[in-house]
Amino acid sequence: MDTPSWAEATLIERAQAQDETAFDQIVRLYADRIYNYVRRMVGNPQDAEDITQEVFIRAYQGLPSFDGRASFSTWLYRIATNLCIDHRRRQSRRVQTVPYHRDESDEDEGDWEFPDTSQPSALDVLLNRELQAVVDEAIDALSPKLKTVLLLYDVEGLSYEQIAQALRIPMGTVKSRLFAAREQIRRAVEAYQRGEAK
Amino acid sequence: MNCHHAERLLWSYVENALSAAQREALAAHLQQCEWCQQRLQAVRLTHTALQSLPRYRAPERLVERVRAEIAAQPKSVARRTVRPALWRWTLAPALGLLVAALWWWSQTSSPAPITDSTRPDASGSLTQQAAQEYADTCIELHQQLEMADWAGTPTVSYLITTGYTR
Repeated sequence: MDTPSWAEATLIERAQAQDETAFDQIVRLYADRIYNYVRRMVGNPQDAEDITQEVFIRAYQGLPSFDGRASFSTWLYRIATNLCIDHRRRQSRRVQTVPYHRDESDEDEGDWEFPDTSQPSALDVLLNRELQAVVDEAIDALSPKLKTVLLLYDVEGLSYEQIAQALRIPMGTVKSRLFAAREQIRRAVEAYQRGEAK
Repeated sequence: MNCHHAERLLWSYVENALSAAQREALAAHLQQCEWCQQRLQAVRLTHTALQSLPRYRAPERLVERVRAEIAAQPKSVARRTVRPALWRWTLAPALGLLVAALWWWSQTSSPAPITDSTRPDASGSLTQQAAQEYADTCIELHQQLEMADWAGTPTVSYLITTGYTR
């Protein structure tokens, strides 16, 4: 669902001129990407929906100050990351926190879809729900810093440069965090292969 | 190439992001190192698993929720984000002038007359108290500027009167 950059730029210009129809289109354009990212960051579907909504409200309010130095999607991911981190802080401050547990019913929600991939070996992986669960669990266990970079690069497909812009960290830090995150996932996958998984 | 070096390159190898020379060197190492071959398999599997993660789709109602929330906001709200920056720029020189005025006042006004002759150090205490109040004011102003996340250049008067350093 790639939109040409000129079309995106036109939409943004119109939205900056307070054209709400244009902003509606922007929301439709990015809703799935931002929701997927936020959902994986926070885990809970209800919180993910609320945070995604807040991302777009903040974006709308901040449109006059958006200067196009970073791409619009990078800017949205930046807002989303900050809101997810705030959410996590609030969660950790609560005395009585009920952790969210993914259960079977979540799998039946029907709000997710598999990416279209032509790699033959990917099909095996897609069919291997166990491995997927191992990877999901390993991602959940990552620290927010590592998780953010891993999701933005491996799941959302941002470049090192875009991630560096979105998180305002040096590109070297992006690379080292990505390596650390991936190695942590790889260790979990290896443990699963050796039959050490829970 | 040793295993430690090879390990750092495996992810880039899987992504075809190595230079020809690096790729060649790593391939040569892999041919003779079973440990790195196994590691490469694990990296490949993990990479594929990550790329194949299902994507969550935003609920249909999300667009409606955003639209309703925006409609409920006053039209001028979108402009609100510009205000804090202007406010900070005007705040900094104003506070600088205020501090300079306080300093000038503390230098020119005479200390209160000493009425308690039984306390020989009363004059000294008053001077100390005024100095302390002045220092507290400076610290407070300093903190207010920090809270305002002020990133501009401080005014000269502010630097002189507070000894402000970043």
